[in-house]
Order: sequence, then structure tokens, then C-alpha cells
Amino acid sequence: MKIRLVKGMDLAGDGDLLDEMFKARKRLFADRLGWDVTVDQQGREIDQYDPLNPLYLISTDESGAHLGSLRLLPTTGDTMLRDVFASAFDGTVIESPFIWECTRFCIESDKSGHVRAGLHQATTALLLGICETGLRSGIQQIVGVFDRRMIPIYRRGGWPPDIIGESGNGREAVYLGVWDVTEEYAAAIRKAGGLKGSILEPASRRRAERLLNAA
Amino acid sequence: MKLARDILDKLANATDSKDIAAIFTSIRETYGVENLVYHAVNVKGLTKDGPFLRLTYSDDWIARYYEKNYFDIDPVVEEGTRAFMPFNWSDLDWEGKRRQEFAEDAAGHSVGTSGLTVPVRGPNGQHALFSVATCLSDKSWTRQMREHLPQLHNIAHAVHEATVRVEGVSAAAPISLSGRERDVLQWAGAGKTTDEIAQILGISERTVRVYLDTSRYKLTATNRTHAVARALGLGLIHPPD
Repeated sequence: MKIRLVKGMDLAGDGDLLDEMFKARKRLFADRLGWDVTVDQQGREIDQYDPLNPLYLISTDESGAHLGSLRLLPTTGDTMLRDVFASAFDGTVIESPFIWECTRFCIESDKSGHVRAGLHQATTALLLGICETGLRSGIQQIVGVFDRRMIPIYRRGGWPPDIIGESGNGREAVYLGVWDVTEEYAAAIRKAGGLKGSILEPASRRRAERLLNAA
Repeated sequence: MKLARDILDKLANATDSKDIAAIFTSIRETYGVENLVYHAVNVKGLTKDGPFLRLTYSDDWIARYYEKNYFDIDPVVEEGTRAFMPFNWSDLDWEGKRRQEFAEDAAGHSVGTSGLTVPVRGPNGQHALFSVATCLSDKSWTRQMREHLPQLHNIAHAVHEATVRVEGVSAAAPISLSGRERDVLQWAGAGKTTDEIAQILGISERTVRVYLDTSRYKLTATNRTHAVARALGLGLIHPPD
């Protein structure tokens, strides 16, 4: 299992994989979780942040098929937390080139590899993928908007967030969490997921490094 | 570090395009780079009729660039429209006949094809590029720039904000900090460590670092001390007793 970094505008190279991801997101967020999200005629869940050329981390199996994915955006541009948490986080707008937002964490639980300590392997692979991408590119902290079901998942994955905001009620409740990007956490995630070495595909490793060390 | 501070302070106070041109000169001297380019790709009110550019290249080269329509093939422009994070020009794809000709033509005009571009993303889809270019092509320049990158990152954002402000695109909104950001800077100004601030305010150390980083960015400061100094200067926090 490896993680590929795909930019939103890489439709030529990775368009099919992105399509698979949008369809998997529809199955999870629209069908299973019943969120009020927009689904297009091709059965893809695409929101207003996807056209902003985000960086996607996609977990793939040996054949290159989508197992899970998430989306990263720099907090200096338009972000979900700016829209959802503008007032919930003490009126502080989180904006920094060194803090990125993670959203749309999506796992295809019916095909995401073996389960370890109650976690699909694709889950720990994605967590490690974020941490490694951050370490290679200079991102220092990740903030994320997520629902309640993710809280124990992050904890078991070895990378618990600090929860710094809360919005909405019941099934629609979402939380704002912050993670530190450190070698120590990368090691903790590897341990939790039984993973060794870098989880990024060689080309994605280079891509992360080419981002240069911005910190 | 002090030099970067001066540049950021000057950008924060720039009121017209002459100021920015003067600051461009000091950036070139400070970092020993031949040319600078600020390129607004998409900034509402500024790029309606095409990209907005402020550059230090010679008029000859600019005319040549337009005449040959190098916009279409310039790999820096291509990567810049997609990239989020800084990139080194030497990592780009310079293959192909037209691109080779472009590189040779640039060299003939004493324009380097070594450089570094920092993409800037802002609210409402704002997207701009800030590049430094040199004729040097050795690896030591790349290494040197790597060291300067955090500063250039801050400068790129500050150039963008100053340009948007002096071009009158967005109403100059005064810098404002949230209550928590002010609290954290107030205690930082009193010499407290991150850990101590966390204990005083009853929040996690990690959250304190979020506030420090967001306020540093809003104040276009290079580090915590600089952020405290700028906040004091703007009257956002009180002088320590």
C-alpha cells in the first residue's frame, strides 16, 4: 500500500484516480453518512473547495485502485474552517502558510486492506502520508474539520489531534482539531499501523521534496 | 533576519507603487538576486484584462517576451499556475525545442533561468507568484536560497498584500487580532514561554502555537519577537510593565 500525492489540476495524469476518489466520497459522505453534500450526474461528490487545486493524498492498492483519500489546502486561501469555524474558534481566523487544512478524510472500509487495532491499513497509511508530506515540505501543523466518528480513529492511529473548536449538533456536529507535524508522530503512526519506511510513492516523495523546505 | 524584518516593515508601510519599486531594489541587494517578478495570476479587480506584473527585467527583454509570446511556453508560468508551495526553476521541465530556444534567448539577454518561485494564495481565489531570478546556475545558489526560503515566503506574501493595497483592489482592512491572539502575544511580550502561556491561559501548548503562527502571519512578522514588536507598534497589545 502506498500514498500518491495528486494535485487537483492533474486531470491529465491522474484524472481516473481522482474520479474514483470523488465517487468513493459520494458513497461515504452522501450514502452512508447522509451528509448534505452535492453529488453530480456522474455520481461524484465535489464541493466548492475541489476547484481550488488542492493537494490530495490517495491511498492505492497494488493495482493502483483507490482505497482512501483526503484533501489538503493551505489556510492562506479559502478553507472550510474559515467558513464553518469563523466564529466558533474564538473569532480567530487560522491563516498561515505553515498550517494546512485537512478535509474529506474518506476510507473505503469494504476494501481497505487488513485491519490492525481496529483500524484499516489505509487509514494509518493516510495519516502517515500527511505527516510525511508535512515533514518534507515544511508544513508545521495540520488543522482538520471532522465528525465525531474520526476522533477515536485518529487516537488509535497514533496521531491524536487537540480539539480546539466545535460546531453544529447531533449527527451534523463537526470538530476542529490541530495536529503537530513531527518525526516523533510519524514514528508513532508507523508503530500503530505496523508500517515501515516511507509510505509515499517514490515520485510523490520527490514531489513533496520539490515543494522545497518552506519552514 | 534583521534585513528581512526591515523589508517586511517597509512593505507593511508602503503606500504607492514607487515605494514597492524601492523595496524591490533592497530585496535584490539583500539577497543578491538579479531580478524579481510579482505576477498576479488571479486577483479580483487587478487581473480582469490579464495578469498583473511588476518586474525588474529590462524593457528589451519584456518586449521580447511578449513578442515571442513566451507566456505560452514558460515552464515557470505553467508550474506557477498549479503549484502551492515554492519551487525551484531547475526542477522544471525545460525540454523541447521551443523551451530550449526560450532558455537560450533568455541567456542572450542576460536573463537567468535559475530562480525560485513562491506561490501566494489568498482569500476569494487570489493567486499570485513571487519569483527571484539569477544568472548564476551553480548549486551553491540553490543551497543559499534554501536557507533564505522561509524569509522569501514571508516577503512573497507581504509583497502581494502591499500590491493589493496600493493598487486599491481591496479596502485596506486594518490588521486585527482575535482576543486569544492578543492574549498570547501579550504574554509572549512579557517573556513567557509557549509552555507557560499554555498554562496561564489553560489551553494546550499546540493551540498556543497556532495563535502565535496565525498572528505572526497577520502581522507579516518573521518570528515571535517581531510579531510582539509589530503588535505593540500597532497598539494591539499593551507594553509590558
